[in-house]
Amino acid sequence: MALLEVSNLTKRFGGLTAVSDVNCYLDQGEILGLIGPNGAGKTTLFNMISGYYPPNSGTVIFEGKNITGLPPHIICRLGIARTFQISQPFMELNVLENAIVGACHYARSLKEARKEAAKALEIVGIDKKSELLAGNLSTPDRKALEFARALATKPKLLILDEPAAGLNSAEVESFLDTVINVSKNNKLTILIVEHVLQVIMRLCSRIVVLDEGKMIAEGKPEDIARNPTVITAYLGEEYVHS
Amino acid sequence: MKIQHFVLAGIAVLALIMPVFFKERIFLTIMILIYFYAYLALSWNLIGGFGGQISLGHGIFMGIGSYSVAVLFINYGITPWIGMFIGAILSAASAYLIGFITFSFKIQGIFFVVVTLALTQICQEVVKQIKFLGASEGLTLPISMGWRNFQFSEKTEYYYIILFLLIAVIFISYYIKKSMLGYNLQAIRENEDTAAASGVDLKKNKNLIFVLSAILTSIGATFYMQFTFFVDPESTVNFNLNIYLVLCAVIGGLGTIMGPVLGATFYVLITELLRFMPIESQKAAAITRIIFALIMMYTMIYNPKGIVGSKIFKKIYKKYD
Amino acid sequence: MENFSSNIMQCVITGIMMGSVYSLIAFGFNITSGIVRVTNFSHGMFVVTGMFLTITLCTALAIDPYLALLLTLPICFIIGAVVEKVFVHPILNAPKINQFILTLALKIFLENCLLFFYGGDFRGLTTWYTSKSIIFESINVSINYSQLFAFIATALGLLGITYLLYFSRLGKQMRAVADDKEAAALLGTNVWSVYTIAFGLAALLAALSGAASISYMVVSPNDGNSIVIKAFIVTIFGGPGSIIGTILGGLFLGLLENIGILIVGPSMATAFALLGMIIFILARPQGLLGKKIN
Repeated sequence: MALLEVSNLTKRFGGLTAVSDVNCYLDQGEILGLIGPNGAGKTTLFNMISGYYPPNSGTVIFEGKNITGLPPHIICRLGIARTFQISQPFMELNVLENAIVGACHYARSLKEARKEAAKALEIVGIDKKSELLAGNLSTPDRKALEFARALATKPKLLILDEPAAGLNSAEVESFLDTVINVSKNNKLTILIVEHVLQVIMRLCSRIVVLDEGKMIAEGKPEDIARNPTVITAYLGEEYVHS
Repeated sequence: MKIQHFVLAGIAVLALIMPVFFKERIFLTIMILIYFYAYLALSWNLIGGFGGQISLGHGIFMGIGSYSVAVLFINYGITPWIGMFIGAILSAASAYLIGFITFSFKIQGIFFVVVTLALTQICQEVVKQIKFLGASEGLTLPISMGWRNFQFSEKTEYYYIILFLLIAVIFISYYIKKSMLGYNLQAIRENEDTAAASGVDLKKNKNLIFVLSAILTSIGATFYMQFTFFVDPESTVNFNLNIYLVLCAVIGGLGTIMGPVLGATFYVLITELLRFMPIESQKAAAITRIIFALIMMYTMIYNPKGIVGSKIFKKIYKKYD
Repeated sequence: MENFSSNIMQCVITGIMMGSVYSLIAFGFNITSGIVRVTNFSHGMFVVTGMFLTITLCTALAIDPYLALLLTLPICFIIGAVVEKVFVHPILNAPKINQFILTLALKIFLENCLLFFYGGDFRGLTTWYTSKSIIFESINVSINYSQLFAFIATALGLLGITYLLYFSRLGKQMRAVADDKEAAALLGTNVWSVYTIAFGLAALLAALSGAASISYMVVSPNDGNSIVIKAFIVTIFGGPGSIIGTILGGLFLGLLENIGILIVGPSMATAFALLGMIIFILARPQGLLGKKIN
């Protein structure tokens, strides 16, 4: 049984159909990539998975449980964590405290939360910066903090929303290493929404492509890269990140 | 850290022995008012500062805290200490109900202010209609001194009671701030979406702090009723006092612990000071509030963190670090 | 039965007349919240200031409040504009909570300024038409002249501001800023000026509402809260961002209040309306015609 099963998921905003009858699944331990041109509905899709929008129709089943339409904090407690594309840390709290918030929902005491938070910081590699205020961090550090905070919630499935946006290629490399490590050591399943092909090709065992709300292709990275439907959807554009 | 502890301990000791040396009524009364406003401001600060929800509904809890005590004492001779307890429970229930409805419907920010304001207004109107609660004239406590009746002829006992309450609420605020609830609330205040994504139950946390704030406010109202022997809808169940509490908390520093205390001290001192000036009392009160309104606006524009967040304060603080 | 139906008639007529005043008050309130994006808690004080100014001018110069408008309107416009430039402009980029607290402080400021000069008592203004009414004996309905004039004046005000917003260059700019201020700025609109004018207009409309109603109402500086609450109620009934909604919302409030007076008595009428507002907030926060709030 797949860890996550999305069936016939549809979301309409007024007259606009953002996501139309999408089906996909994620197996335990996979790293699935979700790509597509701008406006394809990627963010809407996983906002539905993570509980921010209730779908108009369709279901989301996680670990056999129907989680469709549940509020975000319950979905987090059930084991799905997400990061935000534009990182939104708690500005007035320091790095450690940001991660502590993630641990609060299961920790039985502040001490335990602090321990778990410190562990998450260490995995991601920003434990040396634990006293810094989140508002004062650089972009790559903020992204790392997003990641750490999501990890601190002890997820089984982690959804990353364009984690490489705004990073230069060196930073992207180091980020890729972290993700691969985390996924192996913590047996995490990851769904990653990305534009940066470098990330997708390196990380993902499988890719799903969305265009105009519909799923147009699914398969291994090499196959997707040669898929004419996919190339047409992107109009042959190349995404260059410096 | 150590020096600050000494300073705080010193202030506490001073506060404790003050009535022994300064027996003038006027002095004790001013101190009582300062402690009372600080207590109310801190209680409000729990939901307004920590919770980030500007409530203008605290008049309701003030009313419950005062009226339940008055009704039980006047009609059934029940000691105000028990009345206080009952008032606190009723306030908790009301806050829970209000919070449940508003937080469930995602009533945010301005809507929350307006709904709490409207509810206070409705309650005031309703109370004015009920003869049992004294209608517009209000209720006056029959004089019957003694600890059992929570009435004292000297100010001294009142002084120690409100001082105790103030210290209690300071400790409660401090404890909450450093607890998981405190972190959750700060997360909610900063960014609700991120907080929810991190597993924080928005409704439960907001409601919890709201109920706590209501309970403390209700207890404070009981104290004030016993101090002034009087309650009426116009002065108790209204949002004007609430607005001045917001003022105190904001000028001092919303969300901090020292902030509301400083703000309240400032507010009471200047109000009382102007009372000594040769100006007609209504005009004096108006001037005080004009000054405070200007200070509040200045604070919001140039110094949004309040006195506690200001550079001067931080410098003084650092000197002793 | 006849009595009942004429009572309802009376309710409806009075409701519509007073509703028009509420619509205008709410309109001014929506101008600041829609264009400047600031929820101005002190808007009620703009109305009250207009009323007191009218009282002073009319008593000193022995003229009619509508004549005094020649002075009250420009003075209040200036007050609104100055308030924006001095107090609102600096916090335009601050978090909403700070903006709100500022308007709260502004309300306290204006209220106590008025308290200082006028004291806390209720003041009114008696004109030759204050107690005069047209009585339709056949249907047992009486229309008070002051309320009728207030209805006409505020209705004209509503027409005037709608015309301004849709058919004048300034109005188009204001609407553009309300929609997308960056785009408006790119097209050459001076957004800061628009903000100042918006506040001035809000105060002006508030003054008009006040001047129109002072002949049949009494006012005290402490009324600021209840008036701004009425503006809120109208906005919630009608829906933010909709002109027709604001007008309908005001009429709805007028009707609700007067029906409330019939059912629960004058003192509870406000409570009745407030309850209506709470129900709307819970059940239909976008109001009758507003855009859905996501």
